Amino acid sequence: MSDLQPAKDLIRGYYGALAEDPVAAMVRYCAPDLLWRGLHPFHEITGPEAVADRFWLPLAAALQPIQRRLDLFFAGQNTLEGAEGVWVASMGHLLGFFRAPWLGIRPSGKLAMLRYAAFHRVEEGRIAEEALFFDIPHLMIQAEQNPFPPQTAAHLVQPGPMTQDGLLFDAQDPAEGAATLGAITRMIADLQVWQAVDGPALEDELRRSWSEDMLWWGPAGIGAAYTIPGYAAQHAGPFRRGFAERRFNGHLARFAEGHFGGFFGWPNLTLTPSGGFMGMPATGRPGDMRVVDMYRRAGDKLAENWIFIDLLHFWAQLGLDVLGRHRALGESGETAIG
Amino acid sequence: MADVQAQKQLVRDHYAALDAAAPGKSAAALAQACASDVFWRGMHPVHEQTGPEAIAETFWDPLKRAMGPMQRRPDMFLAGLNYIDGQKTTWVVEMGHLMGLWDQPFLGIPPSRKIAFLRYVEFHRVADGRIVDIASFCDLLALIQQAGLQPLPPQTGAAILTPGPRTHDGVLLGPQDPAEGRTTLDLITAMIEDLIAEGVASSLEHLAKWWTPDMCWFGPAGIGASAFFKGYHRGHTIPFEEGLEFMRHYGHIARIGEGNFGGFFGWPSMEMRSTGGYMGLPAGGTADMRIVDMYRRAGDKLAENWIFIDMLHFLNMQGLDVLGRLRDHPR
Repeated sequence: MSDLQPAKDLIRGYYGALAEDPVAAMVRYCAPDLLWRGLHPFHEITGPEAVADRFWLPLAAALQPIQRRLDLFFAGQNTLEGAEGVWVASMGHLLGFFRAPWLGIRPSGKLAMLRYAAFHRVEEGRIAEEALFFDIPHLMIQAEQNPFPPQTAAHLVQPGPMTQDGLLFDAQDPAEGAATLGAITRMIADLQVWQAVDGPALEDELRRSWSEDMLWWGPAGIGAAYTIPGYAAQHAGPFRRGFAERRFNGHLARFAEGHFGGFFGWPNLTLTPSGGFMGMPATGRPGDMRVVDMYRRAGDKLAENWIFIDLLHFWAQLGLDVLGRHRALGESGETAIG
Repeated sequence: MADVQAQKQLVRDHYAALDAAAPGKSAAALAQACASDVFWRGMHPVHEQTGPEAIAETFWDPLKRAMGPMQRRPDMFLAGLNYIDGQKTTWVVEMGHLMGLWDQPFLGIPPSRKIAFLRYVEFHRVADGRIVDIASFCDLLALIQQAGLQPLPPQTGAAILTPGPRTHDGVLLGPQDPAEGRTTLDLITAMIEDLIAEGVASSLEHLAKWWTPDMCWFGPAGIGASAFFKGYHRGHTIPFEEGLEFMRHYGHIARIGEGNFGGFFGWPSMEMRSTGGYMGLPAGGTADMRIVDMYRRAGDKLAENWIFIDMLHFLNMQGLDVLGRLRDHPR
């Protein structure tokens, strides 16, 4: 495995600089033709200034000041075709005092924590490609503006790994990373051919890849679930039963380091709701799911999983503009607080 | 217009017997005024039933077991000959709330252990001294909300306890001037024909033509209540027109007017296709809306409108079993 440390150091410097001055940081650390993938309503943006202008500056005006609270930080060599190279990933929250509207969401006037996961491809000392996932509905719920029907699992501001050792700033034993990537890949293989949708058959399938006391830290709209039976009842079952058709499109990047690993796709899945998923009706047509999964491995099983899904994009493709409806309901609150 | 006092009295006697019946005794109470093959149109998940036994078993006994003795609080009571069938049939309508102490689950909905107001409207067809047809609409989503549950995304209108007519004169126990009822019925019919001709679109011109400026639209839970042209546009007509494609109008089964009040029901009234956003839900297939509209007329305009839609049926036809999901994931 190639040395990942220079790329990690670059990203740590980038995060520090972003907090000071987003425009200068983007220009200094990113390639001029940076390909940035952000969730709905941002989508793909090219070039550092455009990303700073459209994403970071409005966010920094709403969450003041932004404190990055890292829970995971690791790197790896991605071998998936089309996005090969050294990637650095991180996950945690962007915490701020939510004092001005953002995307039409009414500010709470209290602190808020925006869940995020980031993937950065580093090439020749610059960030050439970046995927930034963030949980907008999770922020809306914190600000008491839940746009969705009741979740199957729990709404929580989510912690990092139980083992408190997810920040891999130093070099790691490559064998551990390989074992983690192996565990993730085995689980994906099971998922791609899923047959069981509930009951003991589903739980037995999950036991092949997951620890008994697993945690599934899902996105707002679905929530967080604990233990194999809990996960089967509160997400895996409802999810598998909720779609008439499914297609796996694969991932752009997938890698692991130490006990941690993850992937993202753009989109990973194309799914046709059959009614019930997230309390929504059948749609008769498919939508794309852009997904991030981050994992902690314990022994030869997966013990924790943090998930981000671009649900606003998925539902927008299916005719539901969640943020637009939120504005139309007069919930945006255009007056800044404090 | 023919005298409808005898039919009104029959329905009042019917309600007195039904309200006095203990849980498990509803069938006998229904049998006092209803024909043995009375045809019942109820909300999802009850749907159509035939005969007092089936109606009691699927609706009244479960409701009474859930909420104990119920206090009937009518806001509107009227009768008339049916416009739809050339005045061949006579219908008696009552709208209001049934209040009970909600201590046991109803249709799988967990109880609030507080009083609950079940919003209802019933259309009864009376023939040969018996009730032969009942269309019984109630707002189950509003009841779910009273249990502190919100199975659907935020409403465009207000969630309130729906009031009766502003004029407090909707309970027409005695005979009315037939000319007033005919005027109300004609106004409702003209407004509806205009609305359908416009593809069920409520332009400002349409509203100004048929409605008073301070009109109230007391819609079902899931949509909510709104008032005044601006509020009605924002709270109902714009989301309805933008989020639904009007497929067809099936027509109504009964439409009557008496005094300043009138209304109709369809089974279903309309077929709609969800194009996304309506009620905070994505685009889906086509589905039926079973609808009741009740109106108050003020002079030559309509002033208030009470609407019931079998929302659980409309959503179930689109693959969303609200009651089923509520049992597994209430909050």
